[in-house]
Amino acid sequence: MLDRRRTLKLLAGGAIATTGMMFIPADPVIADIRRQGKKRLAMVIDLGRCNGCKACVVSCGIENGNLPDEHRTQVPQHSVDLNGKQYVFNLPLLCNNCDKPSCVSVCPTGATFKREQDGIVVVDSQLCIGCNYCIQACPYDGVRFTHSATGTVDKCNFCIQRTSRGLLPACVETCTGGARVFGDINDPESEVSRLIRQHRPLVLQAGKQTSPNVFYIGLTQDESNRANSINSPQTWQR
Amino acid sequence: MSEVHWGLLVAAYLFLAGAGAGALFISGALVLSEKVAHAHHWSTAKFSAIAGLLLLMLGTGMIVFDLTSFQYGIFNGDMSKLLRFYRLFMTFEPSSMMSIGTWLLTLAIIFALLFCFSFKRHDQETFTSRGYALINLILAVCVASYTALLIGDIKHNIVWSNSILVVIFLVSAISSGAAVVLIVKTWLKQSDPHHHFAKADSMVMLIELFVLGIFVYVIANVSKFYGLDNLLGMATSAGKIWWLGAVVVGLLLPLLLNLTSIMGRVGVSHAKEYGIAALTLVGAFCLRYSVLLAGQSY
Ligand code: SF4
Ligand code: SF4
Repeated sequence: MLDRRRTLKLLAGGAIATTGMMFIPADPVIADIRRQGKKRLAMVIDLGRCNGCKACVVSCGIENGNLPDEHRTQVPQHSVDLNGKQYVFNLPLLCNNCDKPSCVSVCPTGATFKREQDGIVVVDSQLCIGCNYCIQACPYDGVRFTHSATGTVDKCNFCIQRTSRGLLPACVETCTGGARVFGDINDPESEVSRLIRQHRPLVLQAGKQTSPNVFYIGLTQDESNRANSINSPQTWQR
Repeated sequence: MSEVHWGLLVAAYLFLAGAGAGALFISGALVLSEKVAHAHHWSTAKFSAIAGLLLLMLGTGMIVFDLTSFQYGIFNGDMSKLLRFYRLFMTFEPSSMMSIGTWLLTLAIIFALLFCFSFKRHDQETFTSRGYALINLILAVCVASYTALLIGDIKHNIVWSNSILVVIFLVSAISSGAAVVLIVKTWLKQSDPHHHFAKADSMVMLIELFVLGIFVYVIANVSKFYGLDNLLGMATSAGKIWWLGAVVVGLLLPLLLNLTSIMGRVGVSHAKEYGIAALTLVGAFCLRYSVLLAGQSY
């Protein structure tokens, strides 16, 4: 969704690119717009603090009216091999509300779009026809799903109904380990900005080029490259 | 990827759109080559165009049936959800291949309709629908390519983003279109004493076998690179449908039946022609279904 001013800027970028016979990506223009005071909401998850209690999964389901088997966020347990011994860690998963979301451009009705004011990727359930094209296009398996009670696609939108009023997303509010931190990356004073500066956290599957806005402290490079699914079977049960 | 979000209905969509486009392509080519001066070619072109149009319409119906909002509307008696599919036809999102394809299909159906009507308006001698034939020919190529580009646009999918799929779906659309034309010819009781049709059909099948071979090779290598079992191996359901349905039933058997007639210099019986056409169509469906499954199985 482009407004007139932004479209003109992008077109100007394209014109310069054509004249100079070189490719100028739209990113700097978008980054420039962001510098003009727009928010970029993001979440930092500290894996060292996640105890796998799943309070976030429950509160998210209640807040957003999801059915018991359909999750906007889930905390699958993953096993890792360290010095020949197996360990388990909890990996909270949700839609990354990416900066370059691959789900947006494919949507044939414009139901999925990225909000300019805060960067959240939303699905307008009044417009969604349920073609599942966005589900196919998202490289993060299971973060988009069909909500059985509406027949349309659903996903995490950082609890837009709460965050638009300055409240925290339900999962962040209820996180018992304090593992989930939420805020505006464009605000250098925010907690998320500080954590990102301090820990240089990784995102999941950076190679898919969607520029996720969910960052993980404590994730190794190898683990970050794995294709995890919200629907992974729970192999480690207490 | 674990869940199959695009299954039989989407496979039917891709298959019917491809077969319809193929039939319209051959019909248009017959008109442009002026073969329609012969009565039997005129009838073949006319009925193939009608069959192509019906297949395109049926194919478009399949994508509507697959929409979860439509299914929700049916099962819950919710009319607003049931009718919401109109948004697919009323919105144009140039960045979405599905949106482009829906408009393309709608355009192809409109022009196919005009093409069919032109057969009604003109008799065989004064037939002047070359313009419509050309437009149909171009739209048929676009629609057949679209069926591959729709899934090819999922860039992170290691099976679907393979560009040779465009060639495969194009060739397969021509061979399934030829199967539709063969059904039309057989229904019109036209025989092929010099095996012209069988030879052309076999040539297309050989080309298809060649491109399928390249695809199999690439997928085997890609699977290995990502540390996966061969996504088109016989151990997977996609692989079984691919090898038994698309390759054996859809290509090898019809090719064998065609070749035995050509080499034995015997006329092809109508029953055999119906058989060849049916096998080809089943194979074309299996081809698309197995590609869809393979892309959602890792
Ligand atoms: S994680 Fe997937 S669904 Fe979420 S914004 Fe990124 S591409 Fe879209
Ligand atoms: S399922 Fe809905 S949100 Fe997703 S691409 Fe289709 S119309 Fe857009």
